[in-house]
Amino acid sequence: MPIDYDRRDGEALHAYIPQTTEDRRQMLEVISQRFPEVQTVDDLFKDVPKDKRYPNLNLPPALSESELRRSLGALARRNTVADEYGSRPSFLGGGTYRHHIPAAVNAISGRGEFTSPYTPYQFEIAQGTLQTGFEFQSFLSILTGMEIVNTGMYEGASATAETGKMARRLTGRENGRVLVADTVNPRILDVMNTYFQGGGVESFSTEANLDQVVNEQTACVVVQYPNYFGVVEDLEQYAEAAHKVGAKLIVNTYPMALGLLEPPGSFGADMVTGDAQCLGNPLNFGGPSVGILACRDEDKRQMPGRLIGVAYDGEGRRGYVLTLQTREQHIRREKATSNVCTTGALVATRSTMYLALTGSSLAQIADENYRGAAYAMAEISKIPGFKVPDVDQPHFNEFVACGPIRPSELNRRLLDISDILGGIDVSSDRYPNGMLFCVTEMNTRQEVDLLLHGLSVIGYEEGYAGNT
Amino acid sequence: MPETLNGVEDVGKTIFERHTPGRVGVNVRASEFPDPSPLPERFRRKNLDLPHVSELGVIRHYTHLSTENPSVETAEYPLGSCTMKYNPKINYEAMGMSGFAQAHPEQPVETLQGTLQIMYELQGMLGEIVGMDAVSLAPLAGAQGELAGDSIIKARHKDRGEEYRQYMLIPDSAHGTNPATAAMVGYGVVSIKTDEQGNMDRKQLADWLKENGKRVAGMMLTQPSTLGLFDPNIEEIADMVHKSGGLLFVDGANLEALLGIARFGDLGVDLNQINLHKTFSTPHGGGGPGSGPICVKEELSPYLPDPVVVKNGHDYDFIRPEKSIGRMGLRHGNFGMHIMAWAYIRAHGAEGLRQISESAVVNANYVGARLMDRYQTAIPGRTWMHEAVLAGLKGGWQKSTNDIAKRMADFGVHPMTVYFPLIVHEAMMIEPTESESLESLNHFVALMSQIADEAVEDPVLLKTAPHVPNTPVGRLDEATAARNPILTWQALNKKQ
Repeated sequence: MPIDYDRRDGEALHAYIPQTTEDRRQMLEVISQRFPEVQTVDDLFKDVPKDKRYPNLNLPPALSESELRRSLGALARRNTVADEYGSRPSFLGGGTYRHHIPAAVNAISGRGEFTSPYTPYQFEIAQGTLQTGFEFQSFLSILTGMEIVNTGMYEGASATAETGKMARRLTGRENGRVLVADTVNPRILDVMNTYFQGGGVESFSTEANLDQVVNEQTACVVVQYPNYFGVVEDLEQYAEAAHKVGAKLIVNTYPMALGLLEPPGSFGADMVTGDAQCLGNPLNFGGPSVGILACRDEDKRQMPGRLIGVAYDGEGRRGYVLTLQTREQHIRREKATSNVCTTGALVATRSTMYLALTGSSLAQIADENYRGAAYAMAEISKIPGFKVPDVDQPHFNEFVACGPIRPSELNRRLLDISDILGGIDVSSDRYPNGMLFCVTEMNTRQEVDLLLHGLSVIGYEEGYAGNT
Repeated sequence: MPETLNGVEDVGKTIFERHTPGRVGVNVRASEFPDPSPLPERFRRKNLDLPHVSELGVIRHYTHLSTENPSVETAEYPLGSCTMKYNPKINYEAMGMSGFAQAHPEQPVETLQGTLQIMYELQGMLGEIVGMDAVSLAPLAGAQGELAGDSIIKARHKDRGEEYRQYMLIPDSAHGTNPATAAMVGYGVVSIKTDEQGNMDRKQLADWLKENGKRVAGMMLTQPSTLGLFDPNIEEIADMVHKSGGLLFVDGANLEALLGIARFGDLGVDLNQINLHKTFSTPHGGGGPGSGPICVKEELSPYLPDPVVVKNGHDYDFIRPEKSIGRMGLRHGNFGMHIMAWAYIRAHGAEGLRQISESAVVNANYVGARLMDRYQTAIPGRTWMHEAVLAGLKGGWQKSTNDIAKRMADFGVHPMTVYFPLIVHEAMMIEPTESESLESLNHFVALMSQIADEAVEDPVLLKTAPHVPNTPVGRLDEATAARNPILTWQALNKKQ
């Protein structure tokens, strides 16, 4: 039975739904002139089986806007976070990063003209979206050292999975092995297995002899730069091993690190992936991000995702268009390079604005990350009860420290006693009680010293004291 | 720095062309740390050629670009199949609240019970709305939700030793992501025709199932279809697919028409995805981010992607379902979109949701009814659901739908969807959504009528549209652009 609602004459029901009773009456009159069988709204739903029509939805009653704010406030207060106003320090990274977001990024990207339009298929009235996307492609091309970058994927892990498929297409090795280094974030491996349900994804040890691991059945080798444990590995050895057998090198990277590090494109990467969340976007509990997908010019026709190119009108004015669309699902359907459609444009827009603002300062910002982490690594090495196994290896802003107790316990104490959000549990045989710490330009000297103090106290409590 | 390019007005100048050495865009603090041992030379970046622009320079650059983008917030945007509704501002506020925006995904769940509660409640509300038993919020867009759906179907058949089920049935009116997804998962696509009434051709379906039934994995159906029509035979179709041992997946992209009207789960559907950036008002953003939760019947819940949020007493936690198809992304889904959708549903309640669909359907039929005189209907005699699908101008004028769309741009209004679905000649798909008032609908109708007149009286106007200064550029030559694509500023600069 249709729900009976008490509506004063002409009143619209909701702030988001302008249709009043009177509007509806007028519109139904016009509709019934063309379709005489339509007298009421119910008549418009006649194709829905009558016994299944108008289900009673068991949902909480509607909240007014002020009540909604109160509900949200109550839920937000149930969370303990490290905010941008210095509420508490956090040293969490692992693929999602807390960096400074200039106020201007929030302000411009929040404009309805950027947030509310659709994907720019009607070029002449989407030049704002298209040009911003073109600038994103250009910025990321510079950062990654790769010729071609698309407008973005969902995020880095699924983008990496897509490059695995791209590698199979490019090498012609339909069931080619997709080799993933054990120094890649294990969740990326998980996502790749989701995309390759038919099999073919293999993990390999970076300590193994590459020439014995990589062979002519290999489609690609996937590595991370800096790797999951924060170490900056030599990419050339992987490039050489892959190219020797005609396979592709795929490098998943951390864009902020590329403000300081020589980019993967310089070392022979065939494809580069990553997350642009770190450039101008809040943590958002890890989503949304936008995935970076970059490749060589000669491989661009096998690339998934949208590409924006320059075009001119009849009078020579420069504009921007979506191009090479024959790769995509709306044209090629089952023959498309991927099913991907909606991706992360607004996140990419924010990243573009971020890079526009930090152009002159990005190297310095990245350097501060490096300095903070180097200081933390050196000092933690000296704390009794703690080791930093990779202290002599090159890093960017993340490193593993091995402590005296389980990471979950250590983090609990750090939070309870020092009000610090600690590191990520990466315990393994290689890193007993291993914790991945990240230091960004958001961590002040005071915060890092607080961490050092907190760890010292824990070391002391666990019976480690004096000289190591 | 040149003021003009190519001898015409300064149009399309990129941020790279606004570079002035010495300018600074953000004030960065001095280092607080002692000098470290340096990075090995081979890893140290040698060149970083980014433009230097002042903060105000950046603001003006992108503010100007924003004026070149009509959007939902400037004018009606009746883009069919995309559900371009209003994105309530309170939802942005919700997403931006410190407690949510500053949450790191690696924090212990005990510290983020507010976030997990929102996700848990959203799972429940979405399941209730579509009549499904279990939901994962992991998929990052509609297409990824479809990928989850087809992967679940495949995993389930494999579990039962029925890997010989290799075909996915897909209507010829389907969105391109449907066959693209089926192909990604390794299925062969069988296209089922739409009949003259706009419904699925059940005879063709029956014949195919009779011949090949054992090899059907399932069907991907959009309901209402991309013709804007609800197929009244859906329960019969579901039955036919089930009898052959297949599963029925519904692409929930058109859920806008069915909130409080019908539930997929009541109609024999086994699983579906939902597009939060369509029905549930999260912003389109010029191409994302989206969110495509996957909803399944109880029997399929062990296969859901990782993670699903569960409640143990008063506490919330993440689990990986026992036969999960795996993770769809590094993290737990697009929480920024989850919270916006949660707030949207809480602001409406059951009654409000039904008003959304009723109003959207009335709006679409009103526009369709008023345009029927001048424009062909795709399926004569039938009313529509939330989108009216037309088939070009009447009167045999052969004026291309493309030209009509380009002329609309002259008025600052984004045109309807054109040339989709593929089975309709000169297709135009108009989806007003419930956000449009009677006045804006009348405005759109007046525009379409004017353009219909111009097609007769002044066809050159359509062929040459859009016209500067209504738009920043005239019609762009995309064919030449595709022959030698210039995809970065660096490439463009090299060429000039």
